[in-house]
Parts: sequence; C-alpha cells; structure tokens
Amino acid sequence: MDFIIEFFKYWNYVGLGKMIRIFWYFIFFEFGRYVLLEFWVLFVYWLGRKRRAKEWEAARQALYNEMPLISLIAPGKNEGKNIFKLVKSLNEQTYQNVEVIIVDDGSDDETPIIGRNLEKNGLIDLFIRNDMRGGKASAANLAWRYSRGKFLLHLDADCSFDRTAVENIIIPFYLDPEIGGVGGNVKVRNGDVSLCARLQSIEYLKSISVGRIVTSYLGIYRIISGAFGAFRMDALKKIGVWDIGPGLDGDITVKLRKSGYKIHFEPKAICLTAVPTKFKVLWKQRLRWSRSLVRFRLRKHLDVFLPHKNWRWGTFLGFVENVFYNFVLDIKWYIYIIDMMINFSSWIWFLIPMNLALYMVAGFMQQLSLSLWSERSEDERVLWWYVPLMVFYVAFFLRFCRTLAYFKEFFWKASYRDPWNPQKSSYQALKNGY
Amino acid sequence: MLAINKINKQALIEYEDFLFMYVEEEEAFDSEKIFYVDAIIINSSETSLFEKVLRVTRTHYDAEIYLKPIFCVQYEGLPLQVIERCDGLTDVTQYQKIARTTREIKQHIDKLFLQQKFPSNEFGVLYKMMQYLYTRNHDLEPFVDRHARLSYTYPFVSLQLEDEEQNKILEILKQGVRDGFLREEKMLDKIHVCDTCHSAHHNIRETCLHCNGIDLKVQDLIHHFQCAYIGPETDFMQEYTDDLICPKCQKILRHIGVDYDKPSHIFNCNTCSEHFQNPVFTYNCVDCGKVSDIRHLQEHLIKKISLTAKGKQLVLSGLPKKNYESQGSNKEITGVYELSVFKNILQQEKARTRFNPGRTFFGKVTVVDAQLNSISWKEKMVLRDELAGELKSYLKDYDKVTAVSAGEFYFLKLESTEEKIAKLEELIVFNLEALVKSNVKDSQVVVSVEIQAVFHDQTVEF
Repeated sequence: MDFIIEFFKYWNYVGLGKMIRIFWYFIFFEFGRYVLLEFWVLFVYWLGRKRRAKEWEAARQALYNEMPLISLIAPGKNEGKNIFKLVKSLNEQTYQNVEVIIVDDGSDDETPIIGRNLEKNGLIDLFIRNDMRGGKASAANLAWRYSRGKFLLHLDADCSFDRTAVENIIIPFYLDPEIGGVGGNVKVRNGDVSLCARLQSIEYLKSISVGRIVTSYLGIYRIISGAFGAFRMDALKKIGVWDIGPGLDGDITVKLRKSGYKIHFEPKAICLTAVPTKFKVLWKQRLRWSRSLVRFRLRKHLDVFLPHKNWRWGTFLGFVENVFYNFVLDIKWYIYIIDMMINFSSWIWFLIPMNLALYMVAGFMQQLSLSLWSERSEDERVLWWYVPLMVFYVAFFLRFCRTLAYFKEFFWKASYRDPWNPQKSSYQALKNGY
Repeated sequence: MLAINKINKQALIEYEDFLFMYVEEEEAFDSEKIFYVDAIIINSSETSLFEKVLRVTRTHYDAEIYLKPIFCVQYEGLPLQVIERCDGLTDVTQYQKIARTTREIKQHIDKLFLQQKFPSNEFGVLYKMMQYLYTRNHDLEPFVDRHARLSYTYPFVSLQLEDEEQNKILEILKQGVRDGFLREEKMLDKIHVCDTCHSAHHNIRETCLHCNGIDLKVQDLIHHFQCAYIGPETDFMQEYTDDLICPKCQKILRHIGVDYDKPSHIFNCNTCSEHFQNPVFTYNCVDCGKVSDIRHLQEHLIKKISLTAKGKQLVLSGLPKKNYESQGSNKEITGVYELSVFKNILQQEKARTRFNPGRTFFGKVTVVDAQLNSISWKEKMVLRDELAGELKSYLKDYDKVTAVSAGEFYFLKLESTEEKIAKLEELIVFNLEALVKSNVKDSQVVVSVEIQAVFHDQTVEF
C-alpha cells in the first residue's frame, strides 16, 4: 500500500514534461504509431465505408460477369494430414471457377497417396510430386508453371477459408486494375489450444487484421501473406515468380511493388491458419521470419532506398517504416534501457510499473479497435483477458527473438543455413546474392 | 512282330500284342476305328491334324477313348501345344517305346472305375482329368500357349471346354483342390484376365487421367537451384543449340546436381492438353475389345497340379451313388428336367405358340454369389436342387424347370400374362436370395431373372 502511495506521489512530483522525457520512446514511436495513427486511419477508413461498399458491389458484378479461372495453388512438404481439410474448405467456396493444384515438395509422409487419390477422384485438378525437395519457392513456381487461371492464389495447406474468401480476395483486382497482388486476412484457428496460441491470436489480429488495413490504406503494405495471397498471373510472369526464401512472401511483394504494381490488403478475405502452440516452435519460426528483414530489405532490395526508374514513394516509405520500427527501434530499445538504468537507476522501481501500465493501456486501446473491426468479435472476446500478457510477449519474447535473428543474419548470414531450404538451393542463393 | 496294313495314308500297325492307328493326313483319320486300336500315332507336321485327333478323342464320352494314348512323330518346329498334349514324341522306328508307354497307360485304365454319370458338367471335367492324371502317372503342367484364351493350355482339360469357357478350368481345379482330390504344386505364373471375357490377351497402356487418351508425352521436370524456377525440360531447351537455359534468369544450366536437378517428371496429354504425373494404366482386351483400368483385371495363379491319394481313390472306386443320383439328379423333383429334355420341350412349346402366341414365357434365372465358390461340389448340388425345387414351387404343375448348375436355371411358364410374369419375377428374386442367404454363410447373393415371350419364329438363347 505504501508503495502505491509512493508511486503516485512520485509521478505527481515528476510532472508531464519529465514523464515525456522518460517515456519518449513509448510516446513518440509506439503510442503514436500503433494507437494514434491507427485510430485516425481506421476512422477515415470507416468514413469511406459507403463509397467502398458501392465500389465493391460493382467490382463483384464485374468479377461474376467475367468469371475468370482462378488457380489455387498449395505447395508444401509433409502436409498430408492437412490436404483433405484444405480441399474440403475450397470446395465450399462461393466462387467455383477454380482449379486446385497441389505440389508435394519431397514429402516423406502419406502426402503422395492422399494427393494422388484426390486427383484421381477429381477433387483437385493437378497433383505434382517432386521426389527431391527443392524448397518452397520451387514448389510454388512449379504450381505456377502449370496454372492456367487469370489469377493465382497461393495458399498454405494448413489453412482453411471462409466460404467467401476466394471471391473476396479477387474482387480488389476489379476495384483497381493497377493492383498486382492482394493479401488475405489471416487469423488463428487454434487459438484456444495454448497460451502461446492465444497470444498469437491477438498478435495476428493486431498486425494483420487491423495493422494491414492501416498500411494498405497508407500505401505502405509490404507483405502478402504466403498463407493466403492472390496475384495477377501476368504480374507474376513479369516479375519472374518466387525466388528462394525464407521470407519469399515478403520478397515477392517487394518485387511486385518495384515493378509498379499496387498491393492491397483485403480484410474480408478471411483465412484461418494453425499457429505454433509451443513457445519453442514459435521461437524457431520467428527467427526464420525475422532473418528475412536483413536478407531481403537490407541486402537484396536495398535499391529501394536509392533513386532509380521504378522508385516509388510507397515502396520507399514501407521499407523505411519496416526497417525503422523493426530494426532501428529494436536496437534503440536496448540503448533506451541502458539510458534508464544509468540516468534513472534510483527510480527504476517506479519506472518499470509505469512503463508496463502504459503499454497495457495501449494494448487495451488496440484491442478495442480490433473488436470494432473484427467480424468475429464475439468469438474473440476471450482474448481481452490475455491483453496484459501481450506486453511481455511483444516487449521481451518477440524482441529478443528478433534481435537474435538480426544479429545472426547480419554477421553470419544464418538464413542460408536454414534447413527450411535444401542446402543445394541455399548454396546457390548465397553464391549468387539472392 | 511288326505288320503294317496301310489303307489311304491311314495305317494300322500291329506290334507285339498292340494295334496302333498311324495317321498321316486329316482326311484319312477315321474316328470310328479309335475304339479298336490301342494307341494313335500321328505322323504329320500339320497342327490342325493333331487338333482334330485330340479333340475327337479327348472329348469323347467313353473313357476307353478319351484316355487313349496319342503319340506324335517328331518334326522340327512342331508346336509346343501339340507336343505337350501328346503322350510322347517318337519316330517311326521306336515302336518298342510306344508299346511300353501304351502298356502302362492301359494297365492304369483297367484299374479305373469307369464312371458314366456326374453331378454336373464341371465335376465331369474334373473327374476325367483325374482319370487322365492317374493313367499318365504325372502331374498336370500347363504350358504357355499364345492361342489359348488364358494364354496357358492345360493338357487334356483345356479340350474339355469350349474356348469361351476356358476360365472355368481354373475354378474346376480350385474346387478339386478344395475337395482334396488335387494338390497345388509349384507356382508357374500369374495371369491377369479380362473381367468380361476372361481372356489373358490384352494391350496395356498408359492413358490420360482426364480423357483416357493414349497420345501422351512424358518429360522430366528441371529445377534450377539458383532462381528456384522449375518446369518441364522443353522450357529450358533451345531451338538451335543443345544448351539448357533457364527461362526465368537466362543462365545456362551446366551441371546436374550443382546447377540443377530433375526432381520428377510430368505427362502431357496431346489429346486434351491436360497435365498429370500419374497416368491411368488401362488394358484393351484383344478378344472382346473392352477398355478398362488394369485394376479390374482378374489375377489367377497358374500352378502345377498333382493328384492326391483321395483323388486316386475316387477314380479307382468311383463316386458314391448318392452323389450323382439321389442328390444330383434333377429328376427327383416333378417338373424339373435335364437340360436336353428341357430343350426338347421348349421346341415343342415353340411350335405350339404358332396357334397360341404370347402366353408362353421363357425365363433365365442367374444366381451370382462369390461365396458359392467356397462350398463343396456336394453342397453345390444340394443347393442347386433346393433352388430348383423352390423355383418350381412358384410355377404350375405343367410349367417346366431345368437346373444347369447352382447358379443357372431356366424355366418355361405356360398360359400366363405379362402382368403375372412381372409379379413372378419379383417373387423369384426375393425368395431365391433369401434361400441362398440362409444356406450360404456370408452370402452376398444377387439373383437376376430375364423373361421373354416365346414365339415360334424366334430363337431362344440359353
């Protein structure tokens, strides 16, 4: 009790000016970017809802008037247990002029048997198996090679889809002919399995469902998720389809942007995915994802920061935002902590609770915006209980993981040794600077 | 002592105490004299002559004739299907050898119980074959024969059945093994026969998964490591050089395993332009023209067969009387006739319909059940008679029935109408199915009935 009284007395004494000095990092970068900016953009977005609804209906009519063939491709390894569920989900779609192509990238489970049976029974259009694993990019490229649709949807085999997902992810192409790729709204299906999965449910809602509305609106949307992304077939041909990963979904999005195509996020195109349920598995996944920031943003596509004929403000700002918030501020955070330890060491026990409280308040405000935007807000109500834990998840777990990944990639190019890709491909990618 | 009486290229040769028929030309073969000779020697390179002699003798109803030793004089190029079915190769000077073999066979024939009646045609074939094996004192070893429907010919047995019935041989042999008369020895081969006509002659080919087209092209898939492009070999091939160039990054692929690999292959159908990796293997039956998935081919094992002690005992002592009279006879039930009698009655009825058309009906009842294969001959005969009796019970006293086997019945329904016939059809199907199910364990029986009106100017097919 004494501590609480002392705590309030301290912050009353400190005053607003000094408080801003202490929490400048949070106030300017985190609260400003993830709360104020997002609220403002979402408000403007909400204001335009009627106009968008009209345009959407016209685009939908255009889609159904044309009824183009859409190629749904699902490259993967050892996805046998997921394929049938995926196919079932695709057969339920409202848009039915589709072809389904599944590529098995050297699986050693029952995938070939299941895939061939599905093909034989006419449930999918083409099943291709590579006896030797070539990596995700080559599997996706193989599926693309045999796709005949006007649009191509890249799916992860462990995903399932709302009945209108395919229709909704294609409609944006009819809203704006300059759109080359559309990202779907990926949500967590197995959020109730563990704490780890619950926290990712909130994270996905924040960073994808709402975060990408904002970045897409601002024109700096940078990753079409590999789990559910749509592309114009001619655009894919122009940019030379997928290069070696990991992080190939972010890479292909940048390639599209660099070629002058617009990228759009469609919140109504909903896909559910299974996320890691254990922190150890999640840690490995995030190491892989984070390494791609250094490999692709700071190495392969560094020319985005330099003037050239295809230079675009949106691409540039998207890169700046991505690198600044994920890379620069990540390093800056450690400097900030050291600054606190040195200059405010005697008051550290008042600083930490206040810092946590501020992050929690911001977290609840974000959760409020999620509830207002989500079409499943009833189901997601339980997530409110886990919002306080997000502070620790984001500030420590994800940050430490990210830092380690950047460090290892920056100095040792660790992504080229990742078993996620076969060594033969990684070796060539490293040798040729991919 | 050797004496040759040669008349029109057919000679009767006396050697020791034997009389051999010596045949050189088809026209000269006198089938009526077979009974009086001890063996036949064929001296010809004409396969048709052998076929004729073999068919005439081996299909005869009299055991003295169908078990008659037949020898052939050796010619270069004499087909295997002739050699394997004779009792020995010889030349015209080896009468001593022929006499010895003939004596041995005759001694065995003398010990046989010469059974005349059999519970069914199939059992008759089995019984004759066992007699043959006993008298020849060797195993039944089928041989490859490109002219045979099963692609294998069984000496003696194959001649007992028509070409389209050759598949029954396998069933007859299996039944003989199940009943303990025969024993399966070494497995010689596996054959796959058409599920419609039981022919083993078919052309197997890869066909398109989508349109069943046969114009397919298969290509390797090439994966270029550096840029992750993967596609069929033609994507990389150049018009004027042998270089493989990646269509995505324009690099030359120099070294397999270093620059690229071939992880798989893909088929392209030139008929429908679809792509797939796993074509459907279909067969085209040469005999009936059926095209179907090879999974529908029926697999059979071709084995060498020997006679067991029980089999020997059977041919020496004959069938117990009840097996072929009490239980196996159609005459036990009033109105159920032998097939030959039934056919005569049918002819009479056809003549009668000239004056009374549209009131006589001919019906065929087929009972199909895989489980019937697992029951013995005896049980089959009992079931056949029960089913015949059941069938007769739905008919009037003056209607006629014949039972060919436990799976095949015919009936003549007199003085009836289309309406009554339709009801009768339902009744037969329902009750016969129920009867089989109650008699045969795990039965999946399907009874079908085909009924047609009989007219004097139309043929009735069995």
